Amino acid sequence: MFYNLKIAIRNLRRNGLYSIINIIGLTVSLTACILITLWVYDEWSYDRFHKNKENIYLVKFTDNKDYFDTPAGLSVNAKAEIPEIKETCRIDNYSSSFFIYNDRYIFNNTGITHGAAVDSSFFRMFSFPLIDGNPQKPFESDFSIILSESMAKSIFGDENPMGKAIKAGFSANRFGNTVIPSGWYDEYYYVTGIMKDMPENSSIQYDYLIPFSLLSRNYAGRNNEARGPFNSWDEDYGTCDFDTYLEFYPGSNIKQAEEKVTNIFIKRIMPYLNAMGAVDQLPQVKFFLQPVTALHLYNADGSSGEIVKVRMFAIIAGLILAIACINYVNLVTARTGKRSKEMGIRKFLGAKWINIVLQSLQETCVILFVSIVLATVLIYLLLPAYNQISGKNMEFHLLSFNVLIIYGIALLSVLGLAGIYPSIYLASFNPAKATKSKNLHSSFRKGLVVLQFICSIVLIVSTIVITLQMNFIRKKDLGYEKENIICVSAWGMKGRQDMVRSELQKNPNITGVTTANFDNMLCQRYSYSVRWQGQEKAINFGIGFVNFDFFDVMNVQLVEGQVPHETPGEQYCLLNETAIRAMELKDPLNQTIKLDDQLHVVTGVVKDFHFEKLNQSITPLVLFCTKDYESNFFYIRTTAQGTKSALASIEKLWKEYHPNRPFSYSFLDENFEHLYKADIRLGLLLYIFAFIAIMISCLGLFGLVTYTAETKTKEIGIRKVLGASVSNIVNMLSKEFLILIGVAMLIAFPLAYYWLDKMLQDYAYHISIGWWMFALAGAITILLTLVTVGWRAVKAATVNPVESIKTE
Amino acid sequence: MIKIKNLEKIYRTEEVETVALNKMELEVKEHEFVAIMGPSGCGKSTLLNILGMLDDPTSGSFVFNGVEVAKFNENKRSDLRKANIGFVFQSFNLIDELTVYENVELPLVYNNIKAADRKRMVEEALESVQMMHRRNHFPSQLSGGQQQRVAVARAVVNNPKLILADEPTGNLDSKNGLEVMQLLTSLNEKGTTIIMVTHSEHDSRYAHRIVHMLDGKTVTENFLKEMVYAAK
Repeated sequence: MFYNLKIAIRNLRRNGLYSIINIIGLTVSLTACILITLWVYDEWSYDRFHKNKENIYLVKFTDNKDYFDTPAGLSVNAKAEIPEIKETCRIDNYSSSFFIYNDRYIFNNTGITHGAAVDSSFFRMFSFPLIDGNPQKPFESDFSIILSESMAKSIFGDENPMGKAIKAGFSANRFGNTVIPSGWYDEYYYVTGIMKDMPENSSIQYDYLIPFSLLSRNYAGRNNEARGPFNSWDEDYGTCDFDTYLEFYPGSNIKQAEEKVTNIFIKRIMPYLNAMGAVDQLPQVKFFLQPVTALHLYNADGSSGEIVKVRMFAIIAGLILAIACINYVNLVTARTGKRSKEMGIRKFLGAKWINIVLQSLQETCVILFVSIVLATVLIYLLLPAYNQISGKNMEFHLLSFNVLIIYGIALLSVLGLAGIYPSIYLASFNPAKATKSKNLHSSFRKGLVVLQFICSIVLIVSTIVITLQMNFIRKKDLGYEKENIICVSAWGMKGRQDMVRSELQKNPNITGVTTANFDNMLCQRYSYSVRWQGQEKAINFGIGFVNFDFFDVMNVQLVEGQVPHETPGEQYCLLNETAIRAMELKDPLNQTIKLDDQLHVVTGVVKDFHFEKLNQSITPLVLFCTKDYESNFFYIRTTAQGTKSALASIEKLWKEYHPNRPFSYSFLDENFEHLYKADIRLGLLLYIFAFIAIMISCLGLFGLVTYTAETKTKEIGIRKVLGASVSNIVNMLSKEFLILIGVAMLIAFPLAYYWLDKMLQDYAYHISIGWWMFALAGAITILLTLVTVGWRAVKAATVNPVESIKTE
Repeated sequence: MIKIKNLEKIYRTEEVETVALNKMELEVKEHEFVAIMGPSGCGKSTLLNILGMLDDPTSGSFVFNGVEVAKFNENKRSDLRKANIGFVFQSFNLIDELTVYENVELPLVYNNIKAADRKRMVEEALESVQMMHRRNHFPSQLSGGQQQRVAVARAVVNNPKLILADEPTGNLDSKNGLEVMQLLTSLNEKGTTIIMVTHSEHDSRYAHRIVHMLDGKTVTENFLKEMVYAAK
C-alpha cells in the first residue's frame, strides 16, 4: 500500500506538468462545482425546514388566465368541511411600516418592514421557533404583536420587550380593500412573543405578526358593495386577497381535496354574485394546492419556475466537473504509451491486472486529495465574494453533512469517471501490440475532447445570448421616461400634495412633480367586471390612480383624447391601447364604463407602457385621474445636472413633515435595475462559470497538445531538418484540434439554439437569436484554442532539431 | 565548398562545460567524398550538425559556398539548408505516419515545389534507389535497408549540392550496407559532395579522403596510431 503510494507520488512528480494540469483542472472545477452546489442547495432548501413540510399546501385558484389568492372565508369552511385538514392558516401581507416606542420612531435599514396578520395556528403549522411566547396561543388579544428577534432589538435594544406597548404604522397599499385603516397607528400593540428571525431560505418572511382577528374589527366598516351578503371576514368570499395554507393529515388525497376546495368556493361565491347581480359572470375556476416546498421554485400551477435556473446551474456544475474529469482521462490514457514499458515489466514480474488498477487508482487518489485540499482553501477564500455576487448568505463548513455529501459525490464521480477508466485502460494495455500512433489518435480521446468543447461552446453561446437579453430588457423603451425621476413616499403629506408640489417647483432644477398610488411605476392587477356599451366582461385590469399631471411628468404619450380637467365630483379614466383592444371598444372617447360598480367617463387613450415586470406582456390598464385620492408616492422629475440641488429641496421639505423620520428616496431608473438584479446576478454567475468551463477545457487541450508535441518531438525535428518552417509545424500540431473544435461546434450550436430558444420564450419581450451570436461564440472558442495550442506548438516548433532527432 | 576555421562548439550546463569542437579546421571541396572518423564523443556528430546548419558554432568561421554562415539566424540557415543540403541518418528518421512516397515528397513540400514537379521528382528519386514499387508502404512495413534507401531518396530528391550522412550503414547488415554505400558513391560520381561520419573502416574506403577526429579536433592518421600505441 505505502509502496504503491510512494511510487504514485514519484510518478506524479516525474510528470510534473501533467500532474499540475490535472490538479489545477480538478481544483478549479471542484471549487466551481461546490460553489454552484451550495447555490443549488440553498435554492432547493427553501421552505424545507418546516417539520410538517410534506403536508402543508398553499391554496391558489385560476380562471385559466391568471392566478389568484384566496378569500378569507375559505379557510374556515375548508376546515369545517374537509376532514383531511388538520390545520388552516390565513396570512394577510403588509409592507412598509414603522414603530413608535416611547415617542421614538423606529424604521429598519430600508425603511420598510414586512409584516402580516396571521391566524393563531401560524406557529403550530410552520416551524418558526418562538424565543418567548406561547406557540399554541401566540396572541393574547386583537392588539397583540409578535416581533422578530432583530426587529425587537432595533425597537427595544437590550430591554425585555415582552408585554411592552408600541404604536405601529401599517400601510397596506392595496386598492379598494384597505384592511387596516392607516389611522390605526394611534393604537397600542402589546408584545406577546419574540420569534427567531425567519431563515433566509424561507418564502414566508416577516418582521412582525399581528392577529388575523384584528382585521375583523374593521369588517363592518367596509362599504356595502364590497361586503355583499357577508358579515365577517370568516364568511367573506368577495375579496380574494389572502394566502390560505392548509395542513393535511399524512396520507391525505390532495387531488380530491383540490376538488373539495373548488366546490366549497363555488357554493359560497354564488350568494355574493347574486347580490352583485352577476351570477352569469362566474368564470371557470379551478383550485389547486401547491406544496409549501414548491413555493420558491415552481409556479403556482406547478409548472417550472425558478427550478429552471436551479436545473441549469446543476447542469453547469456537472459539466464543469465532467470537463475536468475528461482532461484527466485524456491525459492519463494519452500517456499510456509512455508507461507501457513500466506496465509490461510489472506484468512480467507477476503483477496481476488488479495490482495495476490499484496502482493507477492510487495516483488518481493522490491527485484528488491535493485538489480537494486546494479547492477547500479556495472555497473559503472565494465564498465572501461569491455571496456578494449571488446575493445570498451561503455558508461553507468543511465538516458539515451537506459539504461532506458534496465532496463525497465529487470524489465518487471523479474516481468513477476519471480514475476507474484510465486504470483499467492502463492495466489491460498490451505493450506488445501497441504502437504509438494508434494510441495517439485514439478516437475515444477525440470524442472526449469534442464532448468537452460541446459543453464549453453551449455555455459560451448561452452567456452571449443571456447577456444580450439582459441588456435588451434594461434598454427597452418602457413607454415612459425613467431617467432623472426621484421617488419619494408621500406618507404623512397626504392631502397636502398641492402645497408640497408648489414648494418643490420653486427649485428650478425640479421640472415636474406628480403623484400616483403605485410605487416604481408598477401597478397591481385586479379582476374586475366591466360594463360598457351594453357588454359585460370580467377583465384583469391593472389599476392606477394618478394625478392630472402624471402624463406630462412621466412622459406617457396619449394616443387620443386628453387628460381630464380638474373637475371635482366626476369620475374620469384613461385606458391603455391593450384595454381598448381587449374590450373591442370602438370610439372610446367619452364612453361611460362601469367598473367595480362605479361609472367612469373615458377621456383618453394612453400609449401602452410597461407597468409590470418585463417578463409579463402589457395587459389592460385603467388610470384614474383624481385629485381626491390620497396618492402614496411622489414622482419628481429633475434636470440631468440638478439632482443634488433637487434632493436638498426635497429633504428640507421632508424634514418639515417628518421631523422624526430619516429622509429616504430612490431613483426610478435604479429601482428598475434593482427589479432585474436577480437576473443580472444570474447572468454574472453564468459568465463566471462559462469562463471557468472554457478555461478548464483549454487547460486539457494544452495538456494534450503538450503530449502530442512530446510524442512528435522527433517527427518535428525530422520535418525541420527537411525544411519545415515554424508555421508549418504549428499548423501541423493545431490542425487536428481545430478539426475537433469544428465538430464540437456543429453539434453544440443546434443544442444551444434549442435550449436558448426555449428559455427566451419565458420572457414576453426577448431578443431573437441571430447567427452572429454563434459566430461570436465560435470565434471566441477558436481564438482560445489557437492561443492554447499555438503557444505550445510554437514552443515545440522552435526546439533545435538536433535535440529532437536524438530523442528515441 | 566548405571552409571551417577556428571553429568551436562548447556545451554548457549548470555544472559542466563540454568542449565538443576545439579550434577545428576543415576544408571540403566540391564533388569531394569525405569520411569523418573518430572515437565516440570526439565531436563528429556536432561537426555534422554544424555543417548541416542544424546547430550554430560558439565561435569561429564557417564559410559555405563562399558565404560566412556562422552567424546566420535560424531562418537564414533553414533557407540555405532546404536548398542545398540533404541528410541521411543512422536511424533513417522516416516519419512513421507517412508513406514512402510522402516521406520523400516532404522536402519538396517545404521548398514550395509545385505538385506536378514534385510527383516527377519523387518518382525519379524513388527509381534511383529502386523503391518505386514500395511507394505506398509505410516505413514500418520495410526492412532496414529499404528504409535507408528511402531516406537516401529523400536526401537527394531536392538535388542538393551536399549530402551529410551520419553513419548511414550503422543500423544495416552488410548486404544492405553495401547497397547504401554504392548508392552514395554513384551520387558522388554524379557530382554531389558527400560528407559521411562513420565508424566503419570498410565504408570509409569509399571516400576520397578520411578526416580523423579526436577531442574535437582533426588529427593525422599517424598521430592516432601513436595514441593507440601509447595506450597499449
